[in-house]
Amino acid sequence: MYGWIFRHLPGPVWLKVVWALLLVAAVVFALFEWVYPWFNATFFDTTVTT
Amino acid sequence: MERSRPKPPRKKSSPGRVLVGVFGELLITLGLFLMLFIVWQLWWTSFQLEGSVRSEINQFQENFPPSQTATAETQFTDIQRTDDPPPVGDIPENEIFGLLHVPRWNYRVMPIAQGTNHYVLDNGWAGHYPETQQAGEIGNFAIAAHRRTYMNNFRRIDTLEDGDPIVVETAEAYLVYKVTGREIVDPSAVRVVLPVPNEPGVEPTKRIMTMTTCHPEFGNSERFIVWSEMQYWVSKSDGIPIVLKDEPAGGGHDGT
Repeated sequence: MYGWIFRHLPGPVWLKVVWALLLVAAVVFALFEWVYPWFNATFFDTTVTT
Repeated sequence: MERSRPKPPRKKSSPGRVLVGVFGELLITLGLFLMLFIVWQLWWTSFQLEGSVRSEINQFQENFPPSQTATAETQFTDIQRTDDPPPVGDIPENEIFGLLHVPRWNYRVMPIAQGTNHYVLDNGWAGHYPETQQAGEIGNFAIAAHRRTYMNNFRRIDTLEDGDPIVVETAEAYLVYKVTGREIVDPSAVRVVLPVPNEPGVEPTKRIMTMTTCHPEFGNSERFIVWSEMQYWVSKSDGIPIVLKDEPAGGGHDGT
């Protein structure tokens, strides 16, 4: 999977590395901004409710 | 420059190998997902909020300062009143109406807002259960906050001991509560926020505060409850209660 993605990134190796870093940054951003807040709100709560 | 070593031809991988490879990478991905989640939960959510919570505390204290005439030495007072404190009034949902000071937690200070929804709690504030009484009223002033994540506000709830002072600062007064007890309950135990905790239908006579948060510290299966009872209040025109004498400006930090 990761190898497949890396092979399909355009350009020479140094550009592929840049692309890969950008992709990682984008994924981490999406996780921190949207996925984890949702994950946390769905599975963790602090109030008492019926 | 030229490399003469010939590259070995790529092995043609069998479908089984591909499947195992993909499965392995999925496991790695899951591991990374959970690892990053821990980083996000324990560190990032608080890091993100530190500045904004600090400025909300400062804002409240600027808007509602204690006695202007006092000097640094004379601003602390032992004038304690036990009549009805100034009412907080009706607060719109999501609005900050007070600050919680906890000397036991290295003088931690946090804003208290109306409501226990995610907007309030995920801003690093304590939230007031709107169906319970207001701060200083006879009955039960119940608040919730996160144990972990979003400032870790009630992280140290298990360290509160009987007799510890907890101060609710409102626009006009400091309400000084003293811890009286604790209980670990199921998340469905709404009885803990009744006007007289755990006693449905009983007419309240005391001014109780209930703090609720997650338990265990990193889990969600139970709730840690701490009760306190208001002992007295201090008017802001008289100064700051002496129990907050050692509080650093803007509140202390417990290093989380």
